[in-house]
Parts: sequence; structure tokens; C-alpha cells
Amino acid sequence: MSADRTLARAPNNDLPQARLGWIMALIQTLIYGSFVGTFIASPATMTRPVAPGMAVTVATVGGLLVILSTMVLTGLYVLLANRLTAR
Amino acid sequence: MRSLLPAGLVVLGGATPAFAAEPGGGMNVAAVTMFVAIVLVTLGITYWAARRATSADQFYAAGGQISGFQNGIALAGDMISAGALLGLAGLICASGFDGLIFAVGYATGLPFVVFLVAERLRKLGRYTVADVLATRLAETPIRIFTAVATLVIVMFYLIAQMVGAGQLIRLLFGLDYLYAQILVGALMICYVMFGGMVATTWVQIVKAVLLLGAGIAISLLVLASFGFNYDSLVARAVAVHPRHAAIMMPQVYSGSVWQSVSLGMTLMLGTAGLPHVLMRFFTVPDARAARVSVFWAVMCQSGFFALIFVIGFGALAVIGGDAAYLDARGAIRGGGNMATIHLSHALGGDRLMGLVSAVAFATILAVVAGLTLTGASAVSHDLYARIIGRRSATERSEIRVSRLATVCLGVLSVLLGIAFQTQNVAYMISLAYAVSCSSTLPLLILALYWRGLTTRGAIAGGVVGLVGAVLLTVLGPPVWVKVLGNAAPIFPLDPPTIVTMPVAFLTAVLVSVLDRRRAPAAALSQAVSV
Repeated sequence: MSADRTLARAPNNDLPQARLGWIMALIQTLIYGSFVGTFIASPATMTRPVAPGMAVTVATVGGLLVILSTMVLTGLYVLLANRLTAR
Repeated sequence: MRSLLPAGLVVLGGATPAFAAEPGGGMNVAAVTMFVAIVLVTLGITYWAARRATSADQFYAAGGQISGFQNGIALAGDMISAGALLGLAGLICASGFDGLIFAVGYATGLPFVVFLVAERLRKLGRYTVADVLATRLAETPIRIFTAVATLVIVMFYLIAQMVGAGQLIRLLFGLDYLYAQILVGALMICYVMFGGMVATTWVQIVKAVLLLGAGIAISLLVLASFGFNYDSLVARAVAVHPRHAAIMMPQVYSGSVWQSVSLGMTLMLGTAGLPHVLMRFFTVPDARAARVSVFWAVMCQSGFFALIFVIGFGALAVIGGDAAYLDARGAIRGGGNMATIHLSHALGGDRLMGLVSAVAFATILAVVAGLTLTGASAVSHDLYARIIGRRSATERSEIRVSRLATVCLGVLSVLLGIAFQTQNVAYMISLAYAVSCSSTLPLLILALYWRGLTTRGAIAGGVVGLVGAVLLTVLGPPVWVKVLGNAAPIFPLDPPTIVTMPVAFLTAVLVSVLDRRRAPAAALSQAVSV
């Protein structure tokens, strides 16, 4: 515990993966924000069929892509952070 | 405004009068068999864990010996409650795309936990979030505040789950509400009191695996019945719903822009401040394992929310046009929560329905056990061991207090579950998430990333956020209109996060800066007196 306590006094920003964490958080916010934002700004865009004659809408595909992005970003973060901290 | 969380929807949907769980009526043998099997397996786990849960480290954190993968599955289990399995599909049946807005929003919550807090939490803390904050701030005030915030979040969450559980079990197994409360309360006290974090984690793992398995099975079966053509499934869903194509536009976004943004923020950021989620990171051996565990948790959780796209529209498409599953008004028999259960009956008969009902039951048990353990830890570790009994507490007395706290919390939640039986408790989940976003999360982020935070600043920001979130929820649509029956809310937004979260951050920063300005003099006088 004593080693942890001295670590506590060092600001988290000094950790190699801290910057990466903030970048990833920003990307995630932008992706989710654009999903929510498009719904607010232009509902017609989101409720349009993804291809003519189809029932699946742009928002359905968009929502699935947002969910996929959570997996991809987390995977990428873990991969990069493991590399950064391995040094 | 709709209730914030699917668990709240369980509560809402369950409030409609009970109908026979299955179209045929009568006891479902498969359901009861699975139900008994789950109770026996989880009690077996508890018996096994009880022999290990003798030290504080084992009790609170499973000795830090849960692997990253195991913890990830348990964490996903914490996030996918019965509300996610039943409530979201019910919401999609009732109003279409709304259910998917929640699914997408919740999916973005866990990545934030790994990006910003998980590793640091594991590095700095031992058993509770307060441990982490106390490494930098004055121990006594910060522990008292964090324990209070934790108990507020846990209790509201717990009551909502208990009321939902009672109504659900009554529908699924025909068990009386009162007995359902006592059964759930007794089992959860048993898991936590005897098995501590070890049992709670393994119960959560068993449930998560069952839940994911059931979700995948239902999705494959429903897709198969549409020739694995997702578009024709959605087309059928749109065709059978009375509002047709209009269901593809979420109603939660029909309010003001502020309302939509506030909901979006809460769904995305609320997870990172929930104490029962954060506590999971103390069960793994190190920061690296913490990171790995969130990776697996995100895979499971996001995968599950993607399945909701199939299960939700599938339920609407399959049972939406089938009179056997609808009541006279064309609504789902037994309430929205029954949508997934009816779908499983339509796809796989009594056997699949029994299985899915039992999985829903296991889900409820695992979530309430996790909440109880978190609340008990706040009492025994933060309030008792570190403050009240700072000089006299031993490891043994601390465990005794945590077991006592478990029993008290369990009994209290059963009593409150009974007291709130006929009340609309959907707001309690909104409240838990709003408090999480406005008090625990700001403190955690500032403590981890801003050197300037002082104890006074943290307490001021936390209290303003906590009180603000509670007050504005009471004055807002969820309580002022839906519970108290007033025509218009005094505060228009539900949840109030877009106001309370920035206010909490600002207060904490402002008070800290003012505090620092005075601090050098204080530090000097202290140095002289020493």
C-alpha cells in the first residue's frame, strides 16, 4: 500500500495511458454525440430507410455502429495501454 | 418524459394488473425446475464461498483473486439487469425506437469507466471508492460524504429493483408479492452475509452467462423465423404496430433539446459513478487486470445491447400481431415486461419460456446482491472501521458489522419493497443515475485528474450535486408530476444532469481555489505548531 500512496500524489495526467484515455473518451463522446445530435437536429435523416424500399432505418444501423464503436475503442485502448505500460 | 432506466421500466410495466404468465395458464414445470436449480446452484456457490470469506479482504474484494476475464463477465452482469432483458424489449413493443435509444446510451457507459477511472481505482483503493478519495483528501469528511452518497444511490436502486422483482416474480411464477419480497430478500442476505464478494461475484458470473446464452438463443430463433433477414423482421414489426413507421422516431427526443442532451449525458456518464460498478475493480489483482476486465465487460454488454435490436423488434414482430399474447386493449398481456417472455414462448414453447423466466429471476437476485454488498461495505468499512471504531475496530469486528449491515439493508429493502408496492418507483432509478452523475463522478474525476482539489471543495461540490439532483428530480416530471400528480413540473428536465453535473464540478473547483488561497497561511501555522 505504501507504494500506492506515493503514487496517489502524482497527478494522473503523468501516467502514459492518461492522455490516451482522454483521447478515447473524446472520440466516444463525438461518436455518441453525433448519433444523439443528428436525431435532434434532423430527425428525418435518422428515420430514412437505409436503402430504398427497406424497413431498416439509418438510425438502426447508426445505433448498431455506435455499439460496435464501444467494442472497437475499448479493444484499441486496452491494446495500446498494455503496450504503453509494459515499457 | 419516460423513466430513465430499463429497470424502471420493469417497475412501470409490472404495475399493470397480473395476468396468467402464459397463455395456457397454470404452473410452468420448466420454469419451476430451472428456478429451483438456480436457487440450489447459487446457494452451493455461497456455501463454497463462505469457507473462504473469513477475512475483510475476501469479504469486500474476493481477496483480489478474481481474474480480469471473470470480473469482466461479472461486471457485464451488473450492467445488464432484468430491465435490460425484459424492460427494453417491452419498451420497443410499446413505443418502438425509444428502447434502442436506451440500449445505445447504456452501451457507451462502460468504455468511459475503462478510459478514465478503472485502472486508477484499482491502484489506489482497497475496498470502496472512499478509499481512493481518502488517499488525497481528509479522511473523515470524505468518507462520511462518500458513504452517504453510496447509500443514497444503492437504496434507491435497491428499492426500485425489489418492487420490480416482486411484481415480476408474481407474474412469472404466480408467487404472492409478499412472499416474492421475502424470498428475494432472504436469498440476497444469504449470498452476501455468508459469501461476501466471492459469492456475489460468482452468482453474477453464473447469471451473466445464462443471460447471454438466453439472449443469443432467442435472437437466433427469432431471426431464423424470418429467414435470417433482419429487414423483413423490422418490416413486420413496423407493420403490426398501430403507429407503423412512426415508431422509428424515438419519443424521448420529442421534448426540448436540453431534455434530449441531458438524457444522453446521463446514460453515457452515469455508469462511471455507480458505486456497485466501481467496487468490482477491487476484486482483481492489479490495474492491468482491471483494464482487461472492462474489455470483456464491454464485449459482453455491448454484444447484449446489440441483441436487443433483434429481440426488441422481434418481440414486436412475432407477438405484436398475435392475439394470444395481447389483452383486450391490444397491449401486451401482463405488461411490457412480459414481451421477451411471450416471445420465448412463441419461439420455443413452455420450455424456453421457463428457461427465460428463470434467467430473469437469477438476474434480479444477482443485481440486488451486488447492491446490498456495496451498501454494507459503505457502512462497515467507511463509517465503522475508518471513523466510528477507528481505534477499536479489528478485522473481525469489521466483518461482523458488515454482516449486520447486510441483514439490516436486506430487511430494510424488503420492508420498503412492500411499502412501495403500489407506488410508482420508476423515478428512483433516474435519481440513482442523476446522483451518480452529479456527485460521485465529479469527485472521482477531479480527485484523479486535478491536483488542486481540496477536501472542502470536494465536499461542497459533492453535496451541491447530491442535493441538487434529489431536489430537481422531486420538482421535475418523475416525482412532481408522475408521483404527486401535479399538472406541470416546476423543473422541466428529467434527468436534471445537464444542470446539476456542471454545477457540482464548478462548485468543487471554485471552493477548492478559494480554499487554496487561504491554505498557505493555514499550512504555515500548522507547520509552526508542529
